[in-house]
Amino acid sequence: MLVDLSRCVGCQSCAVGCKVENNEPLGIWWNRVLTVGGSEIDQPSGNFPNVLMHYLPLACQHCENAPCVKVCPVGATYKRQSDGVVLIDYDRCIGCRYCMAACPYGVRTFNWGNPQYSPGISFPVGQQGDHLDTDPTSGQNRRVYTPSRPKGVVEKCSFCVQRIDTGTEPFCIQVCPVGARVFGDLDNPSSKISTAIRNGNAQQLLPELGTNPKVFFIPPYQKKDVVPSSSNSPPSELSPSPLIISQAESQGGYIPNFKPAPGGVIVPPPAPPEATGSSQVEGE
Amino acid sequence: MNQVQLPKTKKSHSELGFYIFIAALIAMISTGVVAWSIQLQNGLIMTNMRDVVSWGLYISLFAWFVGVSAGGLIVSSSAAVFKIKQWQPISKLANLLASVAIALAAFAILPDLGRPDRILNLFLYPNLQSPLIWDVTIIFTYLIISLVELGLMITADIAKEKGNESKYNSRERLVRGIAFVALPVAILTHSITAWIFGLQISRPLWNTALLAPIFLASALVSGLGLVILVCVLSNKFGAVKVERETISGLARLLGVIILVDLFLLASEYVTAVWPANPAEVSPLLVEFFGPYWWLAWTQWILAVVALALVAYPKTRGLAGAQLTAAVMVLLEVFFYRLELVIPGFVNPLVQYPPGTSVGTASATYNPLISGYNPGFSFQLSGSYFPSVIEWSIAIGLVAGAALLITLGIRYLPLSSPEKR
Repeated sequence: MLVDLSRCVGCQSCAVGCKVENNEPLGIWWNRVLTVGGSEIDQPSGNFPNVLMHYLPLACQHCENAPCVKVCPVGATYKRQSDGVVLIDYDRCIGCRYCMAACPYGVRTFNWGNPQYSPGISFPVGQQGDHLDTDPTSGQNRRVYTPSRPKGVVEKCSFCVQRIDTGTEPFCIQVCPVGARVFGDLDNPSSKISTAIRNGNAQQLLPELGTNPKVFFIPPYQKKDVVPSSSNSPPSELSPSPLIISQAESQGGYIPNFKPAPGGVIVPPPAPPEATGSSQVEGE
Repeated sequence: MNQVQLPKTKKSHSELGFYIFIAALIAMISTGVVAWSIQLQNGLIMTNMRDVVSWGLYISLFAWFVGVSAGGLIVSSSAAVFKIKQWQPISKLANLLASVAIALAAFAILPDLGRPDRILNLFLYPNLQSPLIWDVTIIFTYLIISLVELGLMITADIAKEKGNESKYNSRERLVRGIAFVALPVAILTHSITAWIFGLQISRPLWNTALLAPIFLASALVSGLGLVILVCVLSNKFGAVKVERETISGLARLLGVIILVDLFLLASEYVTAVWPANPAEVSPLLVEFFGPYWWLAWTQWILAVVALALVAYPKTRGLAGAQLTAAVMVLLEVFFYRLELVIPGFVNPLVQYPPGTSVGTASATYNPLISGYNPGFSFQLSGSYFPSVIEWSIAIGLVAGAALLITLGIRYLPLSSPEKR
């Protein structure tokens, strides 16, 4: 999955859409839209007119090297062989919450009690019925989605496994009003998502941890004139660089309408290659 | 304080005290059982753990129990492996303490599980990559070794009493052989328990190669604390009498290990603070100057005062000072465990408003508020203090350990044959 942060307007549609589609109980959000800027939601940092803010929609990063999969003592959390999606078996989880301790992104959430819903809603909204994932080797069926959550198990974004297995895109893709999200096959270099990742200088979240997430972010626009200037004129209109347009057009691909910021601006910023050696001090 | 035979009149008096003590322990255990049944019925919502601080008192207590089991083993195994004569008389007592502590550690994990009914999945579908599976394996190994060693020691003594020299000798050889296995298993137990935390890149506070050595050192501190505590108390009230010099020797060793432990901790602090990486510094700020300042300061004050008590020769020999130091180090290590678990969770790596959803309609359990208040369902940084249910279960577990130890001292033949 790819999220174009330069397009995201922070409308929370994907968060709410996810909550509805997956019938998430009160207090459980698989997908959250965070504000990167000030100390409150929708609040920028800096002083007017030199302010800075962007949004960061955050859900399971579906890591290639997933810490949650490695720590799960019973293999209830597993990475599916066929497409690399990280899933949870609701019937096997013992509720030790080791995966929540291990996840660097804090996207896992626990059913602390019996699931509660808004008063008056006594039926599951969104997807009806369980979804089973069949293990190709053992032939075992694993319950990876259910609208009625068992008490005491962990849950998280599954890339809407109940939808992608039947050929539809995850719900957050469908509800995004600005087309900031792309879902597709990362192994296919000519897919829309692969093209967009290349052209958009897309980055992963906390790449220095080596988890290799399968969710990519195209950096948000960063204003060049953050240095206080005498004029109050708004920043000049932005457009994709000619290079990106030509590349994208030649590949018939997706054109992100932003100018990639040199060096990347996703927070936390990835270490520049030459500084890798010194950045590994962490945790030693 | 020279221990002589207690007067007869005092005997019946202490007998009454014994039953009151047992009754009090059973009351605490019952409270814990009731609390756990309430938690089983309603779910972990009865605790104050939420999605941000998703581990709490139970895991801390588990790690503490694992640590406490160390002292028993170092005394009993070292007595055999390094032939420390002085410790031979208390090696059975020490082994009892190790067995009880490790059994309670295994038990302490149960209330932390959201689905204790699925505990068998650990054996049906083990994921060998998971440090938790390593820990389950090593804890069961450790428990079995401690129990077998204790049984062999007791039967060896019985054989000696009956004058069966050959049986005694063969049993003693077995004990020595097992001790050679038990010592590395013990070291692994503490290391693996540390690695449950220390291998996690998601928690900069835990992710240090020093964590296993720190766990080993703090385990020995708390373990020796328990051995000293039980020796002093048993001298006063129990059936097993321990020589004064033995206890002072243990106290001296305790002092050395406290120093090692504090050195390792300080080394970890310096390594985290000097590079000034916010991710590394923030949990330390939380535990020293933030909302959980009382954790680290209490730990350090307890450690330093206990160190002073056992380092100063005049106080080291006093039963009262030994008892105080023992209780202090037991608490010190408990605080260290809390200080590792809670501040490790408080500030997530990806921390932007509105924060992390807490998983329930409100962040702290309140029976009066049943409705949904969105304002309570996100936390930018975590907050946690154990609920009454959590405390009750924890106290029940500690009381369970105390009960098993007390009954063991009273009914198992733990004194050396020549003393009886």
